[in-house]
Amino acid sequence: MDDNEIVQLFRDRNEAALSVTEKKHGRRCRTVAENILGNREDAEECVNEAYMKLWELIPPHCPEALGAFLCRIVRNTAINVLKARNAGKRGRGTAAVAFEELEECIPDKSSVEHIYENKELLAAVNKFLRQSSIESRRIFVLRYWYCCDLSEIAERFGTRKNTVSVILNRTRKRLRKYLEEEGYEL
Amino acid sequence: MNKNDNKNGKEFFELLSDLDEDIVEGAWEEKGGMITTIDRRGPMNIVREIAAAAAAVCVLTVGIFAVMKFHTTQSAEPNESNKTSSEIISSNNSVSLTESVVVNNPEPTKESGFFSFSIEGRDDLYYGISGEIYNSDWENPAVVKITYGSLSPTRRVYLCVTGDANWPEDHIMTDVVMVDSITGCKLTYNDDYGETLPVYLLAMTGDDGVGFEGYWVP
Repeated sequence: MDDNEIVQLFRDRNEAALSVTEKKHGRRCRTVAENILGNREDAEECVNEAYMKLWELIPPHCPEALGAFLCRIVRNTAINVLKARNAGKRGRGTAAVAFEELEECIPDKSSVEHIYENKELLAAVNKFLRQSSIESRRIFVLRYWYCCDLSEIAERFGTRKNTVSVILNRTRKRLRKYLEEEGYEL
Repeated sequence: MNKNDNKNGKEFFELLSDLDEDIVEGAWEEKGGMITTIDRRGPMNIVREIAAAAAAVCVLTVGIFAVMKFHTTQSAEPNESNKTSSEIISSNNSVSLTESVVVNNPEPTKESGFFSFSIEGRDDLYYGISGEIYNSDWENPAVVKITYGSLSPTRRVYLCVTGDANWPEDHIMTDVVMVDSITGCKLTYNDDYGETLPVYLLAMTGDDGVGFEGYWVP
């Protein structure tokens, strides 16, 4: 069943929508949640909560990419869980390492609070990713959106972990340079 | 701001939640863009392969070294200049890096298509090593040639290319290749991404763990 048909099930308030969604997108959702939370049980709860939210959001929403839409809910839910339990003090999971790496891309560390509110920054990141090579874009998103660890990404690309690490390192540097060129005071 | 709390990184991570959906979807679903041309043999795989063979693998690279020979008039041991060139892959069980030594003279010699380097060595391990790195373009293997200096006959030196000067051992991009003190060695590296950022030459010894790194100009 394609995503449009699943969305229609939601709009019809047909509860089968949830099981079909789980079958089609469940694995990806659990991957995102577990990557961020580093805990299978919490991830499971997070995904279930996301399904509830999805049920509430459609309608009125009518997402074009159901998988990405759902994963975004999962991601945001997981981030909230992470904040709630202050996971930063509980060791260096994949998410913590990703945060650390992303520090490099932030132009002006003192003004992040300000630019965070600025949608232009997000637009610039989107533009940067569209201009990047397909490998760089995919690897960046898998790392910093899906929070995949390096080994998992390397396996997807059939290459070595070190190669992925180098590509990420270069992409971060390019992103920083790009943001500078876009006028962010870095 | 306390750098250790990664506050900026967290906020940026949150911001990324709103990336365009097609980009997010594409990263997960796309099949294209597979990395196919980087040599996928990691150092440990090589070690295992060679350990099984119980000998170094020699590959003739006569054509390459015909060029090298032209440039190596300052060979430390001229009586050995007619030796067959070889590429010897590391057979060491562990290669370690505990010390870095800056390589001098990293500027390329444009006219000759290679650039020279020298290493301020530790006298107990090696002395006054200098050499050349042939790197005319990224589509051909780079060749590292040690033309002067002394390596202990029992001392093994390994070279590889790394993408990060700060954590070189974490970003090794090529095979780890043992340097032959007479013929140098060959490193195969293709930059698939058309990057212009520098990569670095990393040298390691397997015994006492002395390493040095050099600047490699693309």
